[in-house]
Amino acid sequence: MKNFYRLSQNANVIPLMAALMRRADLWQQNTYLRDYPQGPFGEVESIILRFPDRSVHETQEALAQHMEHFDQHENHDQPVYKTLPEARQLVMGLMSFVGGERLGRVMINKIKPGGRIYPHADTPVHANYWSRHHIVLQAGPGLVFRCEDEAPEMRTGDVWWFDNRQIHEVVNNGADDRVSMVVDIRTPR
Amino acid sequence: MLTTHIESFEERLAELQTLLPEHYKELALNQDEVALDPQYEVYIERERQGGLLFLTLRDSGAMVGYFIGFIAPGLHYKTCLTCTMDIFYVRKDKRTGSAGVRLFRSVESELRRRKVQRWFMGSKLHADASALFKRIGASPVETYYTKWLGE
Repeated sequence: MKNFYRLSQNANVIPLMAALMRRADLWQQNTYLRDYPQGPFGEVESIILRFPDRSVHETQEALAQHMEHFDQHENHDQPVYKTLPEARQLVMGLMSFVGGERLGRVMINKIKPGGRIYPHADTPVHANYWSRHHIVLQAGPGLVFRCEDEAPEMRTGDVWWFDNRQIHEVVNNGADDRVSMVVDIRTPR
Repeated sequence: MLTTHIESFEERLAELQTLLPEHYKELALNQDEVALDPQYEVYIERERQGGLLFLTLRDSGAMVGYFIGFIAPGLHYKTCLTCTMDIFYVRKDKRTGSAGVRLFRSVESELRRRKVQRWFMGSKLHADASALFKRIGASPVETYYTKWLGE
């Protein structure tokens, strides 16, 4: 394997999954990724726990001025993150495990049976800065997570690093939702 | 939707065993003399040694087909990494469209990834899969004979 590496197995994801089952409303609070024009996530429900601030500027000049002082890698806790302490425990455990220097985006993505994330590669400026990890909260037979020519079997409780600079896609041909928490971490280099 | 998956034989054995009886019933020879009784422990050992490929075909999570092959340097040609097909099966109700081709194209992709150089696959005369093998670019090279010697 050159695009995937399993860091851990049997992480205790049950408390977080139990919290998500109790809070089904959370999936509808932020549809930014799903609604992104022509994006690959149209069939995905997300709970965005950490994300960069978003802003709109009326003119190119205003945008340029904003960008001068804007660190696009700076992510902030979203209000929902405080309501899911079970997620923070997993995230900070992973930060510690990989010796993380900075915590980036954290999102929980759900793909229904028959759904998919279409093939795409993440933007180089983002993917070169961050290391992308997945904490698999729920996965069963029928899940395809492909990155180039590799598609390892991902099981509930697995923790994976993968190279999101390469073309990747996810197809859930399983009988249940596939739920995974994406954690971007700036690792030592 | 049909998708293909590289999976663990050892971990999916129980699910595989739900398909094996119908596979046996359809294809096995001398069924009145030879019962289905695989040496699963040998398969598992080969898998643990990295010498087995188990690739499944799934529909909504359910296993509806599989390919099992052994990967090893050739006994006569140790510089030639070779895959020798053990068995493959697609459930009868899924033999429409391109299920078989999809299964074998995925096998080929994985074999190429593992740098396998030669791939052998067999077709039974009483259940001819030649069309499938030719479609993926394989050529016939041998006819295999059998003779029942048991009591």
